[in-house]
Amino acid sequence: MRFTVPQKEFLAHLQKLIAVVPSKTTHPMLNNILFHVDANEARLTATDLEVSFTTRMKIEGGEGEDLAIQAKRLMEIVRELDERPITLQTDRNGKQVEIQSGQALFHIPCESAETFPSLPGIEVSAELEMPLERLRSHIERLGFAVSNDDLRPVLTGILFEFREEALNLVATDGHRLVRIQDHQLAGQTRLGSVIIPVKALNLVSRGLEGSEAPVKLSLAQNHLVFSQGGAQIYTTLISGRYPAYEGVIPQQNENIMQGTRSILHRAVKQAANCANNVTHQINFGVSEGKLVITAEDNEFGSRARNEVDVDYAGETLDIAFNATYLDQMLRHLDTEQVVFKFGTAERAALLLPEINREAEDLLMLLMPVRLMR
Amino acid sequence: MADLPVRRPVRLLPAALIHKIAAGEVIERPASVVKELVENSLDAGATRVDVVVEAGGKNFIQVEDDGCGMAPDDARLSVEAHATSKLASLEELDTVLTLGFRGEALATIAAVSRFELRTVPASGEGLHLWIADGRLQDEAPTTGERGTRIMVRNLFFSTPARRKFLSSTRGELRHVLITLRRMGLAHPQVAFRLVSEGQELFHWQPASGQVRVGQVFGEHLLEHLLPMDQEIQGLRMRGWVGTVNTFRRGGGDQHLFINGRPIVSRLVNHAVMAAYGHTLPREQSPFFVLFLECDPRRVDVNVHPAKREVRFDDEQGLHALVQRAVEHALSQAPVASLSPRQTPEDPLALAMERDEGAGRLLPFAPAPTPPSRQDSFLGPVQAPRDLPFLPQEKGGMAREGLREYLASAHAARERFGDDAAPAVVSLEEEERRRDGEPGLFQLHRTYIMAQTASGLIIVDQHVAHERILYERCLRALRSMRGNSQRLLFPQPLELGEEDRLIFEELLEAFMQMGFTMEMSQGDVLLTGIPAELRTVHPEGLIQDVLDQFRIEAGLLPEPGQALAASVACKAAIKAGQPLNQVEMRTLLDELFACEQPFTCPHGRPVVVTLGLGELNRRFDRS
Repeated sequence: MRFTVPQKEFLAHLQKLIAVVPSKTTHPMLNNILFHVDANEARLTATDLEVSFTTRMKIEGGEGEDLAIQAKRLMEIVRELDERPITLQTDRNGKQVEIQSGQALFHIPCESAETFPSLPGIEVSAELEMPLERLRSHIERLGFAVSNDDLRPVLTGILFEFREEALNLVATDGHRLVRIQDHQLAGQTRLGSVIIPVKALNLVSRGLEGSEAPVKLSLAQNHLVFSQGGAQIYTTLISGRYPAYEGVIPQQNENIMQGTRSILHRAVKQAANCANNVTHQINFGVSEGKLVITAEDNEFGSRARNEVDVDYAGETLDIAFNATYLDQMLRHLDTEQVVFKFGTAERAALLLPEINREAEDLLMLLMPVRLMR
Repeated sequence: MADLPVRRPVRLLPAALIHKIAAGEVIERPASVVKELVENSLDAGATRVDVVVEAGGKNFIQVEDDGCGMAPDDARLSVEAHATSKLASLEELDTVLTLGFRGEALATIAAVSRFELRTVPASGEGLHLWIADGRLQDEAPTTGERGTRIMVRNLFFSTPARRKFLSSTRGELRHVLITLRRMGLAHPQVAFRLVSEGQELFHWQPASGQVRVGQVFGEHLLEHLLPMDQEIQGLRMRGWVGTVNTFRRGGGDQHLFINGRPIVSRLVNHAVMAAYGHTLPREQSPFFVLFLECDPRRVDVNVHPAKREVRFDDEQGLHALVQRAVEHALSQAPVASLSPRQTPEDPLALAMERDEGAGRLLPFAPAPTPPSRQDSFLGPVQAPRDLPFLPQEKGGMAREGLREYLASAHAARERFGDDAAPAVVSLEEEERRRDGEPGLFQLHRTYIMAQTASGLIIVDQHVAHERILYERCLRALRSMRGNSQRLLFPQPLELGEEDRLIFEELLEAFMQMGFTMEMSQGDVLLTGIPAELRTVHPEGLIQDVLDQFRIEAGLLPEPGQALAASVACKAAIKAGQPLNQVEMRTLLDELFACEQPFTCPHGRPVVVTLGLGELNRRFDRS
């Protein structure tokens, strides 16, 4: 195999692919990137068997057999090179690859592509296009609420529910939940309901280029392919039943508090500094026109108290939350004003933007911490 | 002159008193009554046995069967001591095959309770007897369906001292349940039903042996069992042994029967465990139900009044036979089910696991290389993912975490003075003078050897890490104030009958820690978990506490300790794990910041010191 490519271009591709390469694996082949070269284009693939990412890179003078090269070592070498063309070439017996840039010359081992897992042929059953930027903004606001616990696999992904009235996207870890209803994608019911691993979605969000070009979602039986330009991201779907989330979204929360997001966010973060650093518990005391945020850590002996002016005319209420969760939620809202809807101290609280973005509805839900009396 | 003690004349004890004394030996608690009565029912050829208890049997026990019943004269005789239909002579004692034989059961039960017996034999002419305090109060002829019904009220009412020693209603009910479980396993062809406080706890229909195991322990267990049935040298061994998924800490569910009689035998247990060899993690035991059948002359069942222990004629031979048979059964298992679970960090293993169950499907045909087993390092440098009590790592930077740990270790050392800690250098110091400083040495990937001011210490890496994690967990637990993070989706707890009773006993402790739940019709729904707990699957932790409680036979004072010990043991690095210098150093630093660095939570030593004096002596260097 042989090809030449500008350093900057090569590094950009490698850095994207490395996100897929598993950090620990008992399957050493997965540490590699697979190279397939044609005369003017190379196809680079990395996979962890669940998610795989293929990019296309413009090259010159490409020829030869497919090859698998250790991703991390290659990336580190390329990263330190000057901005000039790099030439990759296998040695005579095909056991090593030679990386040349100006006077610098490196040899690293490579392997034949045979044992690299091959992508399955898939039969697409439904397709849909959506603006990448729109999908990206959804993923960014949902991703933080996804569970990272492998024992409940369905919660490690984002639910995409294609319905007549909207595309519902849901993420939850059992303590909080975020739902975005995208009305622009209403009526795409062919795709049904799928749970997509968050790793794949993060890759879509960060690994695909540009904001204008649409990304195509192709659904095959157990997996989904995101394609845009020359890049493709394959992912397995998470099977299993997503919890019945609609039933847990309270409809009766009538204690409504509105405040300035940046002020609330800062007050929460400040109080969190004095909260117990395991529970991160902070308390909200809401009464007419006023929110009192308190936190304490008996172990360490710290206490915080802060008052924030809010619009509130509901019942006086004391309710406690995990500050880390609240912080993340407030950070992922972007309106000036936000609305809290409380029920009782034991029930889920809702957090909403004052004004939704065009053609979407965003809802965040947070389970409180019940206080020992 | 001092008064001489009045000498009481020696005389024979009245019969009723003899019974009361003897009752203590056979009848320890309500469950023993249930056992004796059900054994009688089975010996009478019953096809169904109904048991009703109130207050765990302390207030009321009823056992009803459709067995052969007794003729009126036999019935009267049956409540007298050493009356039994099963032995006519001493010679016959050698060949007892029926379950009850000592002929004292009914009499002794009748001696310590208000006793009522109603029995109808095939002839239809039955008898109804009322006995209190060992004396016949009344009797009346009766007719009806064939069978026997015995009611025992106010057990031990005449021996208040013994009554005082009974445990809580739930505790006693648990023992009744365990007793019936054993009977049920041995007699799958008989229907069993248990009603407590008017609520049916189970109703096992007549079934095959395997189906009965499913009825008793839950059908999900069946897929993790391997059947065995072998006969070697006149000893038939049949039953089921569990695969890795059934391993539990302590002596979980292990059920042994000899000629249909449930017994306890350390010898046989040991033989079964030996068959698992290294696949069985330390301090864990597999599930098994094992029926041994042999010539009754080869076992002596009359060792213990409650007939729970037996003696074998050739114990070594038996051990070898059982071990061989279990090994054979295990060798029939698919290999994967015997090897320990892959670590969750291993994506391939995970993918394979999911592929097996209803998980994600692989997008690729994986290359046909078998995954090599490799435990990931759950070491001090990187916080283990399933350790729930650690503050979440900021940014996941292993190095940051390491520095934090070191900082805390130093702080602790300052607090406790330097005496407690041998001269182990910190990471920073190590980095500064990496050259020339004696390193740490890992011996057989199991022990860490380090130079100290006065000689050498050898540390067992697993127990050291266990101690560190244990103290960390305990601290976290003790600081819990019972605040509860509410769960969005309440999670059902799937507990067996016995576990549920233990769970109820510990309910208050769990609530204090911040678990909240709803109970409906015997189902437990978890609605909140301690705010300190970083996990979305607290079921595993609850199960561990229940297991621990069962092992310690209810002696464990604080569920928190069990929780911490089980978390620590699971998450600690194992022997055989290679460690690098930084990892070893961190481990030692943290160990010596512990309150009790020298023993593990189970009492094993962590550190062995070898002083220069000792070395000098050995090398004759005075």
